Amino acid sequence: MRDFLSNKYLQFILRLIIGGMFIYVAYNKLINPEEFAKAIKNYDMLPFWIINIMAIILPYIELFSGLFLILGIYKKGSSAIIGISLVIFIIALTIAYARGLNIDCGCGFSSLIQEKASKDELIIRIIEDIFMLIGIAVVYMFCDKKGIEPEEIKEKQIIKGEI
Amino acid sequence: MVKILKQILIILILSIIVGFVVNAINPKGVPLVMEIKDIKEKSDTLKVNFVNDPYDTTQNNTSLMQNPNLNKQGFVEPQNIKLNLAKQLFDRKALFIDGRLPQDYSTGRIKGAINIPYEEFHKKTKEERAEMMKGYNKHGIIVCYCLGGDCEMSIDLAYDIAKLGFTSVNIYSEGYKVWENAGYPVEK
Repeated sequence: MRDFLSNKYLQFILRLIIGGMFIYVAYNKLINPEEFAKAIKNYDMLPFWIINIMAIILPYIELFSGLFLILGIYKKGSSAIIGISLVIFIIALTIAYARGLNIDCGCGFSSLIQEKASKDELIIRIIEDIFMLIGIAVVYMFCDKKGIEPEEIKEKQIIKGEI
Repeated sequence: MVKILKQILIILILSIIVGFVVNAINPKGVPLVMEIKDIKEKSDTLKVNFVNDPYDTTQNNTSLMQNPNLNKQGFVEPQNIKLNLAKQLFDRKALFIDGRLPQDYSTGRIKGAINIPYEEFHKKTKEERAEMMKGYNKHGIIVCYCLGGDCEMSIDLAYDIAKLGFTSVNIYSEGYKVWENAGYPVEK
């Protein structure tokens, strides 16, 4: 299992997909910061004086984390930020779902649909964020680990007395 | 662990610096603190005197394309209004639409309000919705409401109606409870 999860191709594909999604959602927020500020306001969870500051900084955190993740720079750091962001998104979306808010949150692929999110769409966003969280957890835990090398197998066999 | 925290810190500092610099030079940049006008509701006094006729459909075919208030999705966004403005619109014969279920509507409603239950309305196709609304003035003032509090039907209903091409849809989200408590006209 460890072999499979630390496979360099699997790691790269996961980094490419998750990093790409973060760059894409960041891009959507960057082209219209005012809309994003309104989207944050719709969550009704932050004091209004901090909303615009979040709207200025958050897209760049997503952009750089996504970019670094794909390029393989600071893999641990960028995957930790993406993981934390996803946990925050999931909590915020779940609260929004429970409170029955209509939000355009910009926190997943479904946000490409520029409609107000219905309750079903919120569920889809929560599920897609959970999948991404699993993916990023795999990247975080296994990005530095190598699969079991043939020498290692041989050593184990020697220890067990098989050879 | 220290290494990871260091990486996180570098990414955060980089994002903060780039974010503020780009925002400062970006013509679409936002002010550091959200302007009050963004978080306030629509002004609570009417500057124009008018009498609304919700049933005048003579101008319904006017093209919306030139409307400066159209959003990216091609409809005019509904506006939030408070009790004071809702009452002023009521006095000018705005069309009040109650988005609750018929049984709730029949127990008490804003005087003269019609009932379009959101749940039922939302399930219909766009054509069926347009058919239901064809007797109403697309440029007339409409106020959607429900019970108030956590009730969100007025918001959803207002968006569904606005998407049909109605240009003056308002959401009175404080709802029926606040209206009734204020002693404004109701019927049961």
